[in-house]
Amino acid sequence: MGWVDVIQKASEILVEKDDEVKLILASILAEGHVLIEGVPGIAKTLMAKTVAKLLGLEFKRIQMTPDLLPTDIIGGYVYDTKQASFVLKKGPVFTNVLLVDEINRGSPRTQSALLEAMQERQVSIEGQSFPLEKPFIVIATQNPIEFEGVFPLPEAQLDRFLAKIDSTYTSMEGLKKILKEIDLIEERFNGLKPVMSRDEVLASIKEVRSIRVDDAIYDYVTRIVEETRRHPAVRLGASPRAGIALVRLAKALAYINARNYVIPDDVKSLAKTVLSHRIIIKPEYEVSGIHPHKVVEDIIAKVEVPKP
Amino acid sequence: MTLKTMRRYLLLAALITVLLTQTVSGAADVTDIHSPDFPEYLDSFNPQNNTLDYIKYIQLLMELLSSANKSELFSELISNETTRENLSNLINMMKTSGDLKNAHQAETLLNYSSLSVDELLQGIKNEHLAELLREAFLNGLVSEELLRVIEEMYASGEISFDDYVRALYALQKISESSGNKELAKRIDSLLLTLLMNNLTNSALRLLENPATLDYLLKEGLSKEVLENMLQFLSNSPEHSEEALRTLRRLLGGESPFSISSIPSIRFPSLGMFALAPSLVVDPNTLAILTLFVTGFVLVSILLFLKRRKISVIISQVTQLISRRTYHFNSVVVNIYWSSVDLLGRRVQRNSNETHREYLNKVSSEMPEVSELFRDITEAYEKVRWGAQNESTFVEKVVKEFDELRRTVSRV
Repeated sequence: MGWVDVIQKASEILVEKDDEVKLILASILAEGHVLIEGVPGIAKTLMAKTVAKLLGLEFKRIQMTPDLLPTDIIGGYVYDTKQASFVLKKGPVFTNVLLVDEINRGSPRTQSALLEAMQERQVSIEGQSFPLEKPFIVIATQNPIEFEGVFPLPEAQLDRFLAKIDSTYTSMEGLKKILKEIDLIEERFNGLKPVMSRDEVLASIKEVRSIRVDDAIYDYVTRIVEETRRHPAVRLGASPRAGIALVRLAKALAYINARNYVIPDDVKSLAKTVLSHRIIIKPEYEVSGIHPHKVVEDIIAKVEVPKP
Repeated sequence: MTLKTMRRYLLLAALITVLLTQTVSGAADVTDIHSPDFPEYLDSFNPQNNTLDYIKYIQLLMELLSSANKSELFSELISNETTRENLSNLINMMKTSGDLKNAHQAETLLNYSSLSVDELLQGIKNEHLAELLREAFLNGLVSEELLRVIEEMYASGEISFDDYVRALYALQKISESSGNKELAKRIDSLLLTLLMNNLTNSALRLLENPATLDYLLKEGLSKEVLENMLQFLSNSPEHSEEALRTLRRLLGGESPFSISSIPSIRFPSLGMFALAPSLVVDPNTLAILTLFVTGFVLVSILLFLKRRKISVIISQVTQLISRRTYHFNSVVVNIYWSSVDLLGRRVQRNSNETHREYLNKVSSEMPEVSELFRDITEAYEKVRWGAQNESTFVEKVVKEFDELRRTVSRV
């Protein structure tokens, strides 16, 4: 059983979510985190749970609220009356797949603690470092239409997400299928068996690193990233980290598609997912409706694909 | 910047250039004869011209030169009725032979002698010279210094030959009337020198052409006449060594020029344009004007390139150049791009399209070649991006490319 089978199995539960599942899988293989932006009720949690189950990974979920503290995420020492001493109580961050629902509802302090754990892949409790399990992926969600009681993620923290997926409603046909088959879908989910083991996932992560990337592909990525800084509507372009993310995700995507080399199509198809959330639009362009997606589309249409 | 705006800039630059040229041509040394500095002898001789007796022409020239050499003053020379008649005849011959410049100068020297001071001053085109002379005459400042200034103005190209002769005659007449006989005599002598120069130039112009020399010798002109002329020129301090060398080469049977002439096209001068403005304007001023116009045109071009984004233009040019030269050491890859060129006539490939996107485009627009092109594209992908050994693909891809060519020619 391979990664294509994971997508195939997931599609039996998640309707019209193949591309999003593929991106989450690619992010796991690239050892990156994913931010899913979408309205409530579009199977974000189900998607994360399904992926975790299929990969035989441990799954935990945090619902962010303004009063959530960093210790609620990373854990801390608590006094055990039976043992009459302080014992370590690990937080939900000690898992393989961590779903952070509505990340923008958490206080900046809590967001920072989480994002630090995402970056360092370890947490410090009372001065002691605890490495997180491998693989470790955070799938965070945020609601794009709420502006009250939320703390939007700063640009530096958004940059730490390898990819940002804009999840949308299913089509009418898709919705009809969900309505008709919801009981069956739930049944399938409950009976879902892992397609892969955690060790196989770790082995795949290792294999992804050896995917071939031609020099011309690096040139292509460099030119795309460079263009984000030159675009007239952009106040802050993509960082070198964005370029690294694009190459890593492209390698992972090639691996999922059963190729041992990256092609320009991989880069092109991932550019929007990787770069959009790292670009800041100038206010005057923002008010006229220019979205980062549009900027990336412009750039992709402008930058020449490597030749020959 | 649009092409339309660019055209506007260029039109403006052209207009400025024309205006500047017009200003320069105002110095009045532009004649209606020929482009300056062009070797005139090239069309000076036409043996078919029956209206001109070349033997008489050269004899008349030699005769006048001998008379001028014996005289000390111009007035003395033209006071002789025969000489005056000979000079008039020679001027007509010069015109017939096409030597309009020398004819015009000789005519000027001959005719202006009879004009009054007022008539002479009125005819001066250079306002600065006219004003200078009027003020000098009014204030009685007729001196060697004034003559020196006039000579300098002529030598620097500021005034024309016509103005120069008018000024000399006016100064001579005022000097005579004011009793400055010495200055008047000096000017008279200067006028004689001008005529001698003029006659010698006319003779050289005719004799510079070896064809003329041949003709004249065949027609009976004794070599003695030419040797006399060489002797005469050698004794004259007013003639350059270059002129002497030319005549010596001619008499020695060589080409008049030490280097071969370069074939060129001759244009008649346009009265309103100065084709060699350096003759009539200070070279520094000319350099500044040229720099100004060139700078203006360059800035316009740079603005145009900046607006059009120079990098885009360069990339387009590079793409155009590299269209058929891929320089990739792989048969499969080169065949793929040859296929793209072949299909590109029907289904255009954009530079931002990947090979897979182009395959989809071709498949939808030319389903007849879809399968063949799919195979070639797949082989290309594996060899180019996957670095796979191409030997397993080459034979198949070559066959498919041949088939593709045939299919495309049929469709």
